[in-house]
Amino acid sequence: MTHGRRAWIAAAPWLLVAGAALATPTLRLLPSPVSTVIYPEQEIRVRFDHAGHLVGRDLACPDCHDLARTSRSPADNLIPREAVCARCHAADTRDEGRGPADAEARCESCHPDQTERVERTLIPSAFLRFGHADHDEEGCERCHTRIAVRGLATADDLPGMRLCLGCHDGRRADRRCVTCHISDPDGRLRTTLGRERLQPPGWMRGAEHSPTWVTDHERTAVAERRLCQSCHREHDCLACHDGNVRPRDVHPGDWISAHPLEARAGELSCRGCHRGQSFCRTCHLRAGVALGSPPGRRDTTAPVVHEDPDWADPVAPRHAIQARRALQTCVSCHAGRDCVSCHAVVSPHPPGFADDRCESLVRAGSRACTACHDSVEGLCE
Amino acid sequence: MSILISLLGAVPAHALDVLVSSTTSTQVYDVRTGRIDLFLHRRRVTERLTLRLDRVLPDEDEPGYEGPRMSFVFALRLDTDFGDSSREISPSSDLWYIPGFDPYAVDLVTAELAVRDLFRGTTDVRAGRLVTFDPTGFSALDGLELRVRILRWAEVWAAAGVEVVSGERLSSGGFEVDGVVRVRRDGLDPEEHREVEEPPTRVVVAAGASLIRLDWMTLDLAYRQGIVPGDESRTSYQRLAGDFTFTAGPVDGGAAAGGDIALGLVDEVSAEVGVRPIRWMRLSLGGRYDAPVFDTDSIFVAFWSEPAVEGELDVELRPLDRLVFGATGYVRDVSVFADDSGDPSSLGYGGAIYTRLRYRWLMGEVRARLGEGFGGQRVGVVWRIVASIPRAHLGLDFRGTLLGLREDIPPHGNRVSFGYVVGARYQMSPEAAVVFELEHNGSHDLGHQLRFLALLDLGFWL
Repeated sequence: MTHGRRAWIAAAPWLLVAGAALATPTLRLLPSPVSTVIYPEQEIRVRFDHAGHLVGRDLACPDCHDLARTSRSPADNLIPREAVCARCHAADTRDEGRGPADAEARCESCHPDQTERVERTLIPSAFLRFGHADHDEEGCERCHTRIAVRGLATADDLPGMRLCLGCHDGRRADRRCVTCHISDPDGRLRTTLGRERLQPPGWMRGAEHSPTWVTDHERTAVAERRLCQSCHREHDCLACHDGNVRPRDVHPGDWISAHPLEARAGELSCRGCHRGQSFCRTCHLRAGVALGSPPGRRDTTAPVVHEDPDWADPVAPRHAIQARRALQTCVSCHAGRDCVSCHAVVSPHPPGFADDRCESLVRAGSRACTACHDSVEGLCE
Repeated sequence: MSILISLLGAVPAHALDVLVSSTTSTQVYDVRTGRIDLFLHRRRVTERLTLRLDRVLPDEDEPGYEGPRMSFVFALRLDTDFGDSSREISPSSDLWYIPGFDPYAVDLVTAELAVRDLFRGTTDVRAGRLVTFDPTGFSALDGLELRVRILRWAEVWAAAGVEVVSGERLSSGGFEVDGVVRVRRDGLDPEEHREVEEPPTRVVVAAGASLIRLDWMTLDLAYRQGIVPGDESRTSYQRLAGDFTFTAGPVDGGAAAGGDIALGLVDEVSAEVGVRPIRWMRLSLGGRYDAPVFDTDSIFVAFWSEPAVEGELDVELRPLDRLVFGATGYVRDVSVFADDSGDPSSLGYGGAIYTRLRYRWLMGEVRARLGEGFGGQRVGVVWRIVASIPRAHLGLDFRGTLLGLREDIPPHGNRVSFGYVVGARYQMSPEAAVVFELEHNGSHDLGHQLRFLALLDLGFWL
């Protein structure tokens, strides 16, 4: 036997276990196909075989769930009571020891491992606006798609939003969120449901609020304005964007030390929330790191920010490289006039500037040109 | 406002929901930096006070109501700093005086009257001080915005007004004028203190169009022009931008581009495509081109600056209902020549791995990241544990940070720092909650830095 074949044989049991685990719904190694926020966790303590009843005994859903057709609320209890089961299963509730020979009549046939006391099955109400009565014409299996091949039905057999949107497409049925979801007085969806927070699913047009959402939401906010407005209004953005309290999900601990490197590297898009000249420079002026800071703030004995002797070298100035690399970091401390003092005589323009951008700047009436040039007449020639 | 009051007086009281909410925070903290020998005490109090009125119109609370919906939002922000303000605001303090420093700034953040779903749900109107966002950016203006949905799947919009500038109302003014800082200008001579020069009044006109209601794609186009009116009227910017997203089965993605017509410059191009090969995994690949851009009032608009080009690869797994694993990596290049004199490379790279687990009342999150290039290295691990105990109306929050920094640009320096935040939120009643936080950061060269935060959240439906 080759070495490779032995390795496969050795690995096979582990692969089988892994495959079985992934395929076993009870182990929950895969995400639930439906929202656990909309359908809170259930505690089902009965044994039941839907397939055996629907196919094996040729029953129909309403034969047992007789209240469903008139139900108009998800809070209605549609689980058949014992009397419904007793139509076919004469349960022996008096004495298990003297029970009939038919095993189906024993309590444990439906209530496994509950010999002392039958435990209550808990199926919390879904956080939805829904009425079975309004969907009666659709047929049960339109929404409970796999029920005919299932044993015990769980929350996994309840319809997910994608299935609902198959009919609620704006033509056959209303597709507005509030048609099915619970809303607040202002028309927005209620997002705190029990102890959970309702959030968009992963397949919904990039709106999943994943761990990186706090830094990645810009595109979705622009492209999915209507979707976002199901839960948010424009002014809600200010809860974070108004700058009252530093959002720690964006800026972790010791941010004061770390932020110069982060800003220079462009790791975060600082401009998404801050303007270099008004936000950064205002703080840098007070802190003493900007050129215009009050003298009392600036410690002349400490190393200066630009201690490189070649920083302003007239032939090969090091600062030019850094400025070209990340001009935004320069403007977080320097005002335009700091640069004008030298650049009035040393051109800061990139190669080809006269051909590419000079004309459009002059045409726009740019104030920038006259900061160094006396007149814009013939400037681009 | 008088229009609003008269409207309110004309409608039945039951159709009006009034929410008054406020977030008041006080923070005491130190600021230290190694670049200069700086140590600042900060004592800040901030407050955001919001009034919100919903269902203003009659019948809005009727079941099945599908008519227009009116709302009004008004928010003020107070930002004070009691730190060293006494000598910072005194002109006689030659060493410490900061011209125009305003330690008690009160800003009108928003004052918006909105009527949505007018004319059979086709039209939205907003007026007042508005927060706006579109493919050209995020900003605020005093004016009017109109949105009309046409042809069932399209929306067109237009906005006009005066821009809110100079950082006075929003810290995030994407269209603020460069060179102007947030100051109190009363009594200051602009000739003597050029840094407190009044920003010009800038009128903005904007328009755009969007595809809506298509499950498989979105498309947004926007145009925004800022004009400084007057004898020598000028265009500050003239931006055109677009954004596109699509979903096709397990594949999704998008692209965006934007530029300034006045400058003849495309400054932003990005694209991303993602795929879900299996239900609980998403892979995405993206690229970005980003050039610094300034408005034409700023001299920086004429400076030589290079664009950054970036590629990014992400993967996210959800093997359990409440468990997320993710990894992201990027390579970023700025095409500045690296000479032989030891300047840092123009190439940067980095990445992160993260995981989040929620189980009943506990949530844990860990993120480890590395960034190398552009004059330094950042290595760090951040972790967080949150416990929510509903019966006790209590939430506990613990965050930790371990950070390694290497600075390659003079003055060079290495630093290893640790930090943690311990916080608690107590919901005293449905209307009131308090938050307390203690943050402690420490490193060998900077010593210890502490921050204490107390926050009171109030919200009342009247």
